Amino acid sequence: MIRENFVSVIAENYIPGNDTEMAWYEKTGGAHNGYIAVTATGRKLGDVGQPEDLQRMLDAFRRLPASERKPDPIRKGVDTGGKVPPKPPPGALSVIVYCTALEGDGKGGWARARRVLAPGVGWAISPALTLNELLWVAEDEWKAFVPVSPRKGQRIDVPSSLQRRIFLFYGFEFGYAHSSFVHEKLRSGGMTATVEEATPQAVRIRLEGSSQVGVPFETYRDCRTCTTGEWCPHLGADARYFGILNYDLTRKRFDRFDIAAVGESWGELDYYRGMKEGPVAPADRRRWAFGLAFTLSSERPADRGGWPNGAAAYRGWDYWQRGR
Amino acid sequence: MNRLLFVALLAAAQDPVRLPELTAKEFEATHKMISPLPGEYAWRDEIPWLTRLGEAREKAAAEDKPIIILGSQNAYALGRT
Repeated sequence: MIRENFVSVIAENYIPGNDTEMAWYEKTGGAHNGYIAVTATGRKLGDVGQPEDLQRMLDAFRRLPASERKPDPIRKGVDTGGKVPPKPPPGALSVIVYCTALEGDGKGGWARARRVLAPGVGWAISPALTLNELLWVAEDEWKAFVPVSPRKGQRIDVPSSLQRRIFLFYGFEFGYAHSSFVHEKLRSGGMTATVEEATPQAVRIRLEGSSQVGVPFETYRDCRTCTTGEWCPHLGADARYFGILNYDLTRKRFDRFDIAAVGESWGELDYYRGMKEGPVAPADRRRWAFGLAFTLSSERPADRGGWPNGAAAYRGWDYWQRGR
Repeated sequence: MNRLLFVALLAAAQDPVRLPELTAKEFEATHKMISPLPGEYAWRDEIPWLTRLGEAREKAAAEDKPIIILGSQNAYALGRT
């Protein structure tokens, strides 16, 4: 229904676009953590809460005169100002990062967590959902993985800026908890890259590493000043990484950029994973397992047109971590 | 030596990462297990979401279609909200 009859678009309300886009969006009234149907002129058709609303919106649209449906001309506006969504720098690589809650599988390995709490008491999701983020890798950073004369066993320095970006912005369970300010502190971290195989056609690279962000678990566990489990600022996470990258020397691009990580996060998660409301007693505070899977973004607009949470300028975060 | 690696070695003595290393043997299965479940991302991947309002207006006017907007308050609506 949506694919055939609507044009679908997302909007982040803090950065909806340039001045022309903002003016039009304000005219519609905006969509606030939900769906609305509108015309290209900015006339709101209604809120979309249920699938059956779509047909009603479509019928209402078709009853409108052409002048209401199709403005002529349409000004796109100029991309200036702080409310324009971020774009990747030229030549950057886009990687999608999936995150989900894990638990032990009883056989020494990991499995997707069987049950987690959605925001709201009484909601439960089973099994754990897969959340996603985007990672941008600058051109000079990904080029660092491709030596001039690659040979098996060769060690490659992983750019410090990329390591820090991965650890601080993705190295924790970002799916179910706010965890927005874990990125402020990197306790330790390191990632190494080794050429596993080098042929005239391709270079395959193995990545290995670990990271520790936020506060140590003991700081969270032993805190006596935080009054609620959900909003305690003592957050932290440890993670282990392993990845395989493959660079096609003929096409001069990566055709594989896969990294897996398994980690433990703490703080806030006692609410979402442990389903405990209110202050969480120190004895109930625990580490929660999570997993990350990095892979090349697809050509879908959702991947190519999106942006990393940390790259939005209004947040004031140092997403690129240069010179650190 | 890579500066971050040095810091990692130093810190490891005081605050070790408890988790076992992730190895090549577990890598493929672990990566697959964490990736989206079958059909889980149909809403995101099967609908051709645009990410700029101006682009959506142009397309809607050209094709004489209404626009459906998914709005989020402070994060990319198709990502980490």
